Amino acid sequence: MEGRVIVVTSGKGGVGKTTAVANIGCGLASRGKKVALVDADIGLRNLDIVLGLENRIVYDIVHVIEGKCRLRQALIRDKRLQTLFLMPAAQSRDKEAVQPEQMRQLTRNLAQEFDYVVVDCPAGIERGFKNATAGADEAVIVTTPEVSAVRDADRIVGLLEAQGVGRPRLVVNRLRPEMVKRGEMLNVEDVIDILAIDLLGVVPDDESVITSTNKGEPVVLDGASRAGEAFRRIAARIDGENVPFMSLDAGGLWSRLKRIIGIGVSR
Amino acid sequence: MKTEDVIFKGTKRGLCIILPHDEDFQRLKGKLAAKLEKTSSFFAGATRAVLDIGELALSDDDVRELVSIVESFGMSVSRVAGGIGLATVAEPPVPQRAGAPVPSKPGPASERTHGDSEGNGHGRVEGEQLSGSGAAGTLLVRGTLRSGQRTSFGGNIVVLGDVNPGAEVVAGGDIVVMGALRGVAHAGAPENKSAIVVALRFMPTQLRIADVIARPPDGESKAPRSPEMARIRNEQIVIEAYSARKAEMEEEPGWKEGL
Repeated sequence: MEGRVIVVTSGKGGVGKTTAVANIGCGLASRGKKVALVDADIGLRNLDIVLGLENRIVYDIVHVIEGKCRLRQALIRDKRLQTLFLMPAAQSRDKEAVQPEQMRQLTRNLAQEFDYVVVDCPAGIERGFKNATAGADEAVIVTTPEVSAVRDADRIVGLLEAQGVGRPRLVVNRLRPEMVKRGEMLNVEDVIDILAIDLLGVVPDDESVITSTNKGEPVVLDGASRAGEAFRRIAARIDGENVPFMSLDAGGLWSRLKRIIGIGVSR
Repeated sequence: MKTEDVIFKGTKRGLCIILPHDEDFQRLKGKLAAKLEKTSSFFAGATRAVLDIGELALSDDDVRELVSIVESFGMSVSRVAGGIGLATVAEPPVPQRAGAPVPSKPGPASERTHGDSEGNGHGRVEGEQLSGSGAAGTLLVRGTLRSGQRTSFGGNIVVLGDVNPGAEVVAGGDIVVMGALRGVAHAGAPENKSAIVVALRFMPTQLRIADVIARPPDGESKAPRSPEMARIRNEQIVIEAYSARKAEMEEEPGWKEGL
């Protein structure tokens, strides 16, 4: 059976698409699935860095599309997970180096061999977006609880519908429960109310994501991280498992306690 | 550097004669001869002078004529240079200045000219894309190569700046980075195994010489304190502290595999 091609997109930049792709990929591969991650952000590639695979790149997606190497040669096997592979973007080229139809072909080819093909879409709605979404069966929309990010996500959902990419599902990233409680941040219900799509998961704001990104070790592999736990659940849901949403209050109690005994809480 | 008059400059390596940017070849010859006339008593006997023709587009014959003028004053010209401040690199990188034509020897791209400590100054530098055709010459890149910038050249490449992660330098010959090498360097492309890579701060993302690829071990590595150099030994890329003497050694037993 052919695998599923999932594009991870957001419209707005900096909301955590690449982090989500790396973590969803690692999460699915940890479940024993064969996963190919495709970095479609040609010219501004990052996924390789987040995965800690930058120094292994020899061939990239543009080489494959231009026929300079075989598909297999460009796929980099993850150093931790045997069933996870990365198709890196080219850095010295731009989005115009690839046509949507070529991307469709490439992701379809990958889907022959992999259970999941997860495409990291660049920010924006131009050529890069069209390339990344060309071969997608379904979409994961990443947003943060900010009005601007939600607005862009809404635009993206509309574009995906027009393109016939089915079943967009939502990841709300970097939620800060204390701020929501104080009424200073959009809550998940507000976001869903606007976007009217299924919720795939909520990822709490977590400093460990930043350190893990810098180290090239996706947070999903860190058993102690709450963001990692959220991504594990997201991967499980993508994989068809019905898992409950995690309670985001646990951290709240702890920080309340700390506040009571007077340890500074910066947030 | 554009000048009005012929300038003589004493450098450690010897005399450097810098020609003005004068499109009129006859006038240029006149200026050169006049300057030599005035100073001949002082500079006569200078050997290994460097003739810098700057950005002038001169034919081989023109250059030979200039060289013979200098030699008629009892000096010898060891090298004709395209001057300092070569290329500013964009995408795709095109060297903006041409080196000077002195009949170049056929041979591998990185063939070094012994006795000329600046090495590889011979041959016209045409910013052609890497062809592996044995094009000689050195491309000087002034400034830092940033992510996504790629410089490729059939001869050697010298970068007066850093090579950042995500940037790529591909040379048919050697690569010298007078700064931090953090990106990808590919020397001796496609198959010149005697090529070397030298950097003041040597911490590449990935290193390639000819068809051999190496990457640093996973995990944190600390920044080097002194210049280092990479080359192929026994089909493997080895990195060692840089020393001029080691860099000069062309071949060692066992290097000729695959030839």
